[in-house]
Amino acid sequence: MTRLKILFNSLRFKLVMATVVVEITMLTILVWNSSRLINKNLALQTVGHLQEMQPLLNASIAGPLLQEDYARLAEVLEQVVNKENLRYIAVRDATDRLFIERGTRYQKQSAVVSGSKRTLEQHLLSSSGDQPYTFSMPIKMQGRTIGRIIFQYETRLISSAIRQVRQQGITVATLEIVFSVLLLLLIGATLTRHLRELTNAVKLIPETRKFSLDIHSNDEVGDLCSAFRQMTMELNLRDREREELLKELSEREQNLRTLTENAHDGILVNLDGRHVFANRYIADMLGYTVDEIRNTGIDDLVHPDERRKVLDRFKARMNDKNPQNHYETLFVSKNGDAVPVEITAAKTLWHGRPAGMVIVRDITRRKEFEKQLQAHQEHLEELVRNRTRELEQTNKELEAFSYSVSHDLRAPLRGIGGFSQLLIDEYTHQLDSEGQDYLNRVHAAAIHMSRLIDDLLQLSKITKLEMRVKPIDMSALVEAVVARQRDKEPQREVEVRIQPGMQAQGDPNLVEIAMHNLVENAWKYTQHVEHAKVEIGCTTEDGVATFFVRDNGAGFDMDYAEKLFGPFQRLHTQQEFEGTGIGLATVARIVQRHHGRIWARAEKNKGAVFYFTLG
Amino acid sequence: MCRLPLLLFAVFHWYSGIAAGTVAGAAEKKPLVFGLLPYLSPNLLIRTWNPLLDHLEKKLHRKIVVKTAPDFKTFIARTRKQRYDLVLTAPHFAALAHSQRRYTIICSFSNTLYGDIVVAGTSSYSRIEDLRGKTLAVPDYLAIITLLGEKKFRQRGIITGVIGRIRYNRSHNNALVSVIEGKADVAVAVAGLAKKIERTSARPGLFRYIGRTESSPHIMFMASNTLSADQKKQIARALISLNSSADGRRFLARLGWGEIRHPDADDIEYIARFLPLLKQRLRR
Repeated sequence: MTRLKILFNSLRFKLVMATVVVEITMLTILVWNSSRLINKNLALQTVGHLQEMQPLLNASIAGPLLQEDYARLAEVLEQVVNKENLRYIAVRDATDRLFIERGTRYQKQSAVVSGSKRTLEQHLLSSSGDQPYTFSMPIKMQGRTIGRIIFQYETRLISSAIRQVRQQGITVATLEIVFSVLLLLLIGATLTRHLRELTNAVKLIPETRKFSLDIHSNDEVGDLCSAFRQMTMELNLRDREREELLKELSEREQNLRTLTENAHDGILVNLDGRHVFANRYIADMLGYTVDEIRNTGIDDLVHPDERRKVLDRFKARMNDKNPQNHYETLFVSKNGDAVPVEITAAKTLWHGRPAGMVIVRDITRRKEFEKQLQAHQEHLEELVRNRTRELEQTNKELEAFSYSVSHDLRAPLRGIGGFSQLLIDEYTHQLDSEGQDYLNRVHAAAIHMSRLIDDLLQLSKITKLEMRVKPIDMSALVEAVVARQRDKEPQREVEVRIQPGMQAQGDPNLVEIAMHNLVENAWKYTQHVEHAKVEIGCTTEDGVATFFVRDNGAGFDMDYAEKLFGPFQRLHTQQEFEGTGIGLATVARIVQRHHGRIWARAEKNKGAVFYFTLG
Repeated sequence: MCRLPLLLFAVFHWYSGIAAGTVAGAAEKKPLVFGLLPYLSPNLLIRTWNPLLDHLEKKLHRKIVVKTAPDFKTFIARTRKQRYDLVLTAPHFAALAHSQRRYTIICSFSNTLYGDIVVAGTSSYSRIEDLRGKTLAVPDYLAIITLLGEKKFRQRGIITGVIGRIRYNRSHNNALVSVIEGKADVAVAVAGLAKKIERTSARPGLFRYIGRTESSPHIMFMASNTLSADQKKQIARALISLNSSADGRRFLARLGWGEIRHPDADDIEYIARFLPLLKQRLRR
C-alpha cells in the first residue's frame, strides 16, 4: 500500500499522467476538429447542391402544383429522384396534404427539419448519421408559399467517411499515447534513478557535511548535482564562519560581562518593571546583594520624591517617546539613605523582549564638591562686588578730580593764551627774534594744552553720559559729519565715498562723536597726500555689522597698533601731524560703552582702516 | 328513478355542444382554398391576384390557399366536386355551379364582358357579312367570349353550326395571333386585348375592328355551400371592402374590370341562357 502511495506521489508517475492527459486532450481536439471540418465541408457541399436545385425545382414544380397537374409533377419528380443520393422526394400542398411522392421513403425518420447546413452537420454528427437526412424547402410563387418539397438525402457514404476518419484518428492517437508513455517511462526511470541517488546523497549532507555523488550529466539533474555540491561547500564555509562568529560572540560576551561586573558605575536592566540584571557595583552602592537587587523594582530603588519622574520617563522610553535619557535623581539604599545618582537610560532587548537599561553613577562626592564650589564662588562674588564698589567710588572721585582740575585749569590757561596773543599782536616788534620765538612757543603750548583739556573733558563726559540707544541712519550721520569737516577745511580736496543705506543701533550722540573723531583723523592723516581718499562703509564679520573708515593717508606701523587706542598715545610727532592723542581713546571708550569692538589695519604711507562694531 | 336518464341526456347534450363548437372552431382555423379560373398561366395568375389574396387574408384572418387547374374543363370538374371554398370563375361557369347548388355567387365585377371582332389590318374585310365561309379564331371552346363570338356570328347567319370553320385556341392572345399569321380570317378576343397588343408591340394598325359581341356579366366570385351564411357574408364584405382601400383601388384599376359589387339576379338569368351550350360542350 505504501509502495503504491510512493508510486502515485512519484515525479515519474505525475509526469506520465500529465503527458497522457495532455496527449488525450490534444488528440481528441485534433480528431474532433478534423471530423468537424470534414463534416462541415460535406454538409456545405450537400446543402449547396440542394440550394442549387431549389430554384430549378421550384420553377418546375410551382406551376403544376398550383394547377394540381399530377401528371406533370410526376414527370418532374421522376427526373430528379434516385440521382445525386436523393432517395426520396415528395410534394405537399399549402394545406400540408401529400400531393405526390417518388422514391423510397425512409420510414423511421420522423423529424422533418428545415434545410440548413447546421442541421445537416448536426445530423451527420448524431448517432442517426447513417440514416437518410430529411430536408424540406418551401415552394413559392410570386412570394406566396403554395406548398413544400421534401427530400430524403442519402448520407450513408458521408457518415461512413467520417467514421473512418474518426477510427483512424483514434488508432493513431492510441498508438501515439502508448509510445509516449513507454518513452516517458524510460526517461522517467533514468531521471528518477539519478534523483534517487541524489536524494540519498543529500540526506547524508547534515550528518557528514559532504556531498560525494558525482553524476556526469549535462542535463538538469547534472546541474542539480553541481548545485548541491556547491551548496555543501557553502554550508561548510558558513559553518566555519558561524563557529568563528560564535567564538567571537562568546569572547565579546565574556568581555562585556567582565566590563559590566567591574564597571565603576551601577548597571540595571528592567523588564516589565522588575530588575532582571544588576552588577556588583550597584548592589554595593545601595547595600544589597546582587541576588537581592535582582528581585527589586523601580519603586524599591528610587527615592519617593523622584519615583513619579523616573517611572514616567521609563514608560515613555518603553513607548519610544524619547524622554530625557541623562539626568540626576535620588536613589535610596537598603538602609533608607538617599543616594544622589546620575543615570543614563536606554531601551534594549532582553531575551528578545523590550527592556530598559540604566547606568547609575554615584555622584555623592561630586555633589559635596559642588556644594563646596558654590560656597567658594559665593565668597569670590562677594569679594568682587566689594572691590567693584571700591573701584567705582575711586573712579568717581578720579573723574570728579580730573573734571575739576581740567575745568579749573582752563581759566588760568585762557589767561596765558589770551595775554600771550596780546603780546604777539602788540609787542612783537619790541622783542628780538629769540624773544618772539619764546613767546610763540608759550602761546602754542597754551593752545595745545587748551585742546588737551577740551579732549580730556570730552572723554570724561563720554564716560558719564547716560546711554540712549535707538536706531541710527549711519549713512545720513556720516554725511553730516563729512559736511562739517569740509566746512572746517574748505581748501582741502578729499574724495569721500559713503556707503548708502547703513543702519545701526546705538546712542546717536556718542556714535556721532566717534564717527567725527575717525573722519577727522582720516582727514588729518591724508593732508600730505596728493589725491586724498576717504571711504566710510559697513561690512559683516562673523555675522556682526562692522563699520569702517578707510583712508589712503600716512598709515602706521602695525607693530604699534596696540598703543593706538590708549589716551595720549601718538604714533607721529606733533610736527608731522598735530593732535592730542585723545581722539582714538574717545572712540574706543564710546565703542566700549556700546559693548562693541574696535581695531585697525594699516601700512605705513599706504593708509589705514579703522573697524568698529556696536555690540 | 326517472331523473337519471334525463341527467345523462343533459350531460350528453352538453358534451355534444362542446364537441361541435370545437369542430367549428377548428374549421374556422382551416385555410380557405381559393380556386382561380385558369385564364392565365399559373405565374401570371398569382401575380395578378396576389393583392386581392393578401387583402382577404388580412380581412378574414385566415390563410388563403390558392389553387387552379390545367384547363377550364378540369376547373369546372373540380368546382363541381367542391374542391374550393371560394372560386373566381367565368359567369357561365358560375351559373352552372349555381344551378348545381354547389356554390353561391357572392360578388361580381361592375363592368360587363364582351369580345372585340377584329381582322388583320392588311385585310380587305370591313363587315361581318364579308366573312361568310371564312375561318374564325376564338379562345378556348368553353370561354364565354367564344360563346359570345359564336352567338354573334350565328345570329348573322355566318356560322351555320359547321364547327370546321372555327379555330379554337388556348388563349385569347393565340386567337389574335392566328389572324396576323393568316391562320384565321377573323378573331374574337376579350375587349381591349387587340389594342393592348398593338400598343405593346408598337405596331398600330395591326388589327382592324369590325364589330363586337354582345355584353355579358363579368367574372364572378362564388362561395361553397359548405361555408355558413355568415362566413359567405363575411367573405363578400371583405371582397367589396377592396373598393374602398387605396391598395384595392390601385389593384382594380390595373385589372380594368370595374368595382366589385353584389351580384344582380338579372345577371344569373342572362347567363343561364348559355348553360345548354356549355353543358353540351362539356359532354364532348
